[in-house]
Amino acid sequence: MTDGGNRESIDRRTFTKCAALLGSGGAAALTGYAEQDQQWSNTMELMHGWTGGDGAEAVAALEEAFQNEYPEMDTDFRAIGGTGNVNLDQAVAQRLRAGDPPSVFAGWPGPNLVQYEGVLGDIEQDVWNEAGLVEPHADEVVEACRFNDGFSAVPIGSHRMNDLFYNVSVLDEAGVDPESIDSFDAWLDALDAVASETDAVPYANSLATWVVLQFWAVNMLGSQGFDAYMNFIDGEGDEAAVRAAFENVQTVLSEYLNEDAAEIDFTEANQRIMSGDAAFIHQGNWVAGAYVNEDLTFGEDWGRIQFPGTEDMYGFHLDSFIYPGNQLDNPSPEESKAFLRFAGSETAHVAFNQYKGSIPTREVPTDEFSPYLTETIEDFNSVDQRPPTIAHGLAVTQDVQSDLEDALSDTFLDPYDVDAATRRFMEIV
Amino acid sequence: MRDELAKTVERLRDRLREVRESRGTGDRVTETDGGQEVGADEERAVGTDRRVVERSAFRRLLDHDAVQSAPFWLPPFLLMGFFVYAAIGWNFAISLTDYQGFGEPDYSVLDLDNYGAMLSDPAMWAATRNTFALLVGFTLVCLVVGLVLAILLDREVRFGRTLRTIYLLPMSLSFIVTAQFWMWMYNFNFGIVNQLLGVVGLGPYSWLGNPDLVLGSVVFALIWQFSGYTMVVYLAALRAIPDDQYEAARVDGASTLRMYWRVIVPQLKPAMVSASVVLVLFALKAFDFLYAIWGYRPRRGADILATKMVREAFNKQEWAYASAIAILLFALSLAVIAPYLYQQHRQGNL
Amino acid sequence: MSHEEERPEARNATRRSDALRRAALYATLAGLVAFYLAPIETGLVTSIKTSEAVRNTLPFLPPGLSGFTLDKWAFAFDALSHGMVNSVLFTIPSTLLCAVFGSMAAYGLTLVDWRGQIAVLALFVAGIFIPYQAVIIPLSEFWSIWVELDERLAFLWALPLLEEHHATILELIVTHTAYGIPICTILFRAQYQTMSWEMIEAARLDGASLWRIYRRIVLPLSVPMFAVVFIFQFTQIWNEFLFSLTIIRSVSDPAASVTLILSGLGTALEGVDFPLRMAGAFIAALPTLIVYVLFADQFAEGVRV
Repeated sequence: MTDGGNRESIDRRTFTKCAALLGSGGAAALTGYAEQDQQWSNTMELMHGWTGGDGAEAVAALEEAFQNEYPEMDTDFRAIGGTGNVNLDQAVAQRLRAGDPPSVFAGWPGPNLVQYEGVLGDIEQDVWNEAGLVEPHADEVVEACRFNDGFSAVPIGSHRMNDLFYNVSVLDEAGVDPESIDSFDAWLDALDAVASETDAVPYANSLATWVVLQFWAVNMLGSQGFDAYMNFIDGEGDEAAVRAAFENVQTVLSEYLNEDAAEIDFTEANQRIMSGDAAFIHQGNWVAGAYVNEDLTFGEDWGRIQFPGTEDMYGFHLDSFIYPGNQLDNPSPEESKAFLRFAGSETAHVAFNQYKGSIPTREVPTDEFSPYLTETIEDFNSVDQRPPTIAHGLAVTQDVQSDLEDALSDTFLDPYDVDAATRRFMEIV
Repeated sequence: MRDELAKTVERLRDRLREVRESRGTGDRVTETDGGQEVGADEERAVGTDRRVVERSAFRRLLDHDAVQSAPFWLPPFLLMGFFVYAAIGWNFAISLTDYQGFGEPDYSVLDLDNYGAMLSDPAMWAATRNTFALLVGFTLVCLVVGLVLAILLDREVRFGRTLRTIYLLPMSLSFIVTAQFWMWMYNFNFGIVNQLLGVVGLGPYSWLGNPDLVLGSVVFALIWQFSGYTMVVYLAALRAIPDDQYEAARVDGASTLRMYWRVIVPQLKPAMVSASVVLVLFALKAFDFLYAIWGYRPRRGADILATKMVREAFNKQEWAYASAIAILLFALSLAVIAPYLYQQHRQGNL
Repeated sequence: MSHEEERPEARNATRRSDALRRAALYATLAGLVAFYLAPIETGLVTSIKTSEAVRNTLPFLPPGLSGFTLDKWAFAFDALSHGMVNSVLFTIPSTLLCAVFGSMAAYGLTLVDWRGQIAVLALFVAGIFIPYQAVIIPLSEFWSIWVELDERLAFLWALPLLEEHHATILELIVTHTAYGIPICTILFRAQYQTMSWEMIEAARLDGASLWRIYRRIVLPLSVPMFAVVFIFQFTQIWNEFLFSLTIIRSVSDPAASVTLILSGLGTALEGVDFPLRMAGAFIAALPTLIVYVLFADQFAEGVRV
């Protein structure tokens, strides 16, 4: 890094100087940040996991928008492939462990940050205060980005975690009116109707541990309510509530689920919703990205309701950019902070989320967003409660989440042992 | 080049004869040294000893040999030694710390806590049980299937070489490749396995999803991949059995099967032992296959020590705990290798 | 024998049962061929099917014309090609190094006899059987925290053709060489043990240095074994996965090997793409398949440690 790095940066500085002379401030007047834009000396290296499809498009849009505002800064948006964040987390961990952190990396904020204790820097003053990010963002979002006594993350978008997606024509064929599904029992009636009236699988999904954890969480919210859920993640869970949620999960998974759920991915399950081979799926709303890619129309081909019992909630998930520092030196503090100030801006949120299929976590004009996302944004702003997701880092630490998934894998993933699973869940949290 | 070599060899033979004649000794022991079978090495050792006793001048040369030959074996030994043995030692040191997350291990406080934690980790027990089930099932079936293949091919069969090549083919493939194939074979809706069973009215089964079936499915795929290996080992051993033994058995009027069982199979024991050692170690490395199918967290029933170790380390950053599991794995393989090496040493095969 | 000639019915009966037996034998052998080739065959036909054809045709039958496509192969090739380059970059040098080191070590431990070599040898043999799990944590610690080749060799990355990710390739070369040495040593030793002891002794008495003997006598005689070792090690290193996973780590790393990329191929938001995976599996396996088909005998000798 040393030799090559220096040479490069000298080149860049010379280049920057020339560019400044030539442009003689003409371009500089375009944006408020332009004055600072003359001084960049390091490359801003960002690691993220959005390698394919809508994620890749979204990050490309974000990069383009950023470069429009900071044309002089060298950036390296590094995509780390793999489903979920597994590979990204691992690659980031390796860099942090080697004492060679990237400038910024994508990840879940909230308790998920605990695993990075000691290696995250504070950006309260330089990012949150300077860019005025606290005011426009929702409270839960601000809270999730706090770490220790300051801030270490900046939100970029949120996926909704309490949608129940369905195939419109399958429900029509089964004679089910989705709007009438307002309770778990009503949903069971609908599932029964699908089973008896159509060839479709009533409920499609994967049995991957995080999927089941998420499904348990949404059932906990739906049938036991927001408080029971929040008590559980705070470590004061009511055993009866945990058990009741597991019983609901067991009912659906053992009676209505596709038979090969244990060996398929949620993407494949979602494919069956699209092809009309299955009726319902509960997933984070990233699955809606696939509907859009396949040119399916919201309301005609696919639809959604809130998971029964969570009508006044927004299942809260959050993607963010995290700032390494503290015991480790951030390789480009100024550049990283400039990027993070930008990432919290309206421009960034609109650029990124309209492609990603997630929603901005600050108030933005909705004209760029699809009807479905517009509806989601409206819900986000109007709901009473925004329970944090347990399967995506916002409710419990990575360790606890991992233990919960182990518990599911050991006790619940078929045969569904409600007692054992309840016991383990109560022990862990 | 061949000619030149032949000439050199010839010249050296002459020279050797001259030296011997001038010494007036008729040392014949070295003549038999062709390394044909087990005994050859022992013979050579004996021969060497005799020479040592006979001439102390030669002994001096021998003493120097360790030094003289060092440039040949020492660099590879150091490279290998560092990456294998020093790394294992280092791994053991890490297992005594409480290293996790980021930063560096703190070697100032060392204790056995991780080993204690292993004992009380239910997932460890499950993984150990699965590991043993996989080891035993895989090794035994491979030995049997390989034996059958070898016996079938050992008879004079047309296209024998081609058949051998086909049976051994899967072993040339990466676990990652074969995992892709078997995921498709086992696919619930479209895989061959369920389609074939469907013909006889069975299934479909979730081969890679049902916790009761997964380990069996994995073992079956691994047998597909490695039974060719045991076949090759047996074939080599069969070829080493003198023809007259087959003849003798046949003249005896024994049926082919009984002949194999009575006369031939007992002689395959050494091959069987060495093949099982290698198979056990293949099985311990089955990690790649499981990872390719399930990633870090295999389906319940298929989690083995190797997958658990990598998950604890590279997924959960529990470095010290993972090191302790690694030491357990190492001890397991040592338990298999050490007796084998000792036995080989006793037989002079080393 | 003469008995049978006198009784033709009996001979016919024996012949019949012989023929029956041979038929049974060949049927068994053919069945086994089907068993060993089935996963490969179904993979091959699936790799050229459209998603539509995957659902509508039997898994072991080739698609009709309408269900035929080479798109997946093209896509898989694009995804895997730089991994192929990387795999070649570390597989070939480490194969060569393993073979050279293995031959040297075997020579030093076999044809030159000295006390204590058994102990050294035992360490080499045991080295073959070490589960890599027992070393990967120190290994990743060593490369990523202690050595940091990418920074130490930073002066190189400005040169043409060299890039920063070649540091990772170099790490893999050293790693694969180190762990390949034991098996190569034992393979060479198996051959050297059968070499003529008297010849070496004579050459030494003739005043030839060990190095000279190695170069002039041992090396030329080891050519066939070198072929075995090359073929065996090439396949082993090409197919290896755990080091790729723990040293390279990420599928998207510029140094990603072909097995690493293959492990993440064919999963997308739209579902698991089996034709793509199969095509990828074949592309990743192609070099080893070619080597295997051409040199099956050497491979067989290599596995038979």
